[in-house]
Amino acid sequence: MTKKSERKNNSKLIIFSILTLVFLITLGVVGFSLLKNSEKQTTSSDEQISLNSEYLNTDGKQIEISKQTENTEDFLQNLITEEKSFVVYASLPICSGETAEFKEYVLRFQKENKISFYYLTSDYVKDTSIYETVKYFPSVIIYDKGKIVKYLRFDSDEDKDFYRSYDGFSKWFKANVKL
Amino acid sequence: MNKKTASNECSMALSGFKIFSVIAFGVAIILFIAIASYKAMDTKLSNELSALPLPEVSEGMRGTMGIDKNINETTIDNYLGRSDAVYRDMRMLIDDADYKAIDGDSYLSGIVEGFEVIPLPFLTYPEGLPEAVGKGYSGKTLFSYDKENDKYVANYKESMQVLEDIFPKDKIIFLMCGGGGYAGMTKNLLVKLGWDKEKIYNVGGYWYYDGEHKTPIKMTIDGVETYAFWRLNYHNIDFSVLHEA
Repeated sequence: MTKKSERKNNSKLIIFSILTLVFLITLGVVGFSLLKNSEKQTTSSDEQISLNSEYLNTDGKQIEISKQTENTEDFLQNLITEEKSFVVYASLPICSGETAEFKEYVLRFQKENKISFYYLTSDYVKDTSIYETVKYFPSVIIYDKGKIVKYLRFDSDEDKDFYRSYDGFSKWFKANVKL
Repeated sequence: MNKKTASNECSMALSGFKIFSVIAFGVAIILFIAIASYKAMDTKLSNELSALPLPEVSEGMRGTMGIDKNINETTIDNYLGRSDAVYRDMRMLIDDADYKAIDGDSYLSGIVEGFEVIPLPFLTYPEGLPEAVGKGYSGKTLFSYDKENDKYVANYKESMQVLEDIFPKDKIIFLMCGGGGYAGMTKNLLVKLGWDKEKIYNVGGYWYYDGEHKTPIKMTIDGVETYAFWRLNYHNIDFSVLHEA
């Protein structure tokens, strides 16, 4: 074999190796993204929370925590320790604007779906662990096994539509909680 | 030169040196005090009048009420006490709207230090109140909102004068209320009537305020719930002395 043909063979080998490498990387990226996508789909359906049965098929009223106990935080902490899955409506009076009727939407939703939420007014919510996570109210906070997993963000553009109408709120809630 | 003269000269020089030292020491102290005071004043002035970020609306539903992204309930403490600004809280002392029906308080229960009260309903009727709170204040107002033409019309000859006295156009205006709605409506009113929108900040609502400058108004005295309105600086508008437009 001459030196020239040997060099030619070497270059062929290098090109072949590069192409194989590029192919493998592409395959890896495509495979990974497909896997990630399917994982996401699985998680999103898994993300729907199952509430404890005591909150379902009820009269759909709000359970005012401050009327159940003198210590709101202790009451909430017990639910957390017992790893309950429940919903808290943390209220704040909105004097005007597009959120004025938000509480009405929540109440109607509870009634129509026979589901009970715990209820806290702004006077009490600041003394609870909720305030470590949620800073702006009103908000609806979903607990799964004692942990906050979802809540409506009053200061987020993404959540605007969920505050503005009954349908918006209903859509958000049903996407997150199995009814 | 004899010994005595030399000793006299020496003691004179010594006392001269002493006088010089005392004067120099005195001057040094005066200079030090002057420089220190100047520095302190300068720092105070630069704190007082530091440049402000331009008004920028928050994200989310807070933004729909016009609450500012940069100067709001969480940051207002950094902007209190400015000589180039006025601070106004737009709530009524006792609101005719029943805010208790939506978990609020119709009474003004607390305020941020330095804010002076001028109820929005005396300027114009608040728009879009929740049904649950009822009709709200229905007395006299400085302006009426002409919905068709989207403008405010003065109800009294002195309406603009009163407004300019309470909201000086040459000052920065910080507005607050309970949740941010009344403050937002006030900003809209002022801007529509010719105020510079870049000088008005909707700081948001007292209900969200967690800072160091709370003045509580709601209190319990001998077991009785009381509202200490005497703690407030209140702008009263006596409509009986105004002349209808």
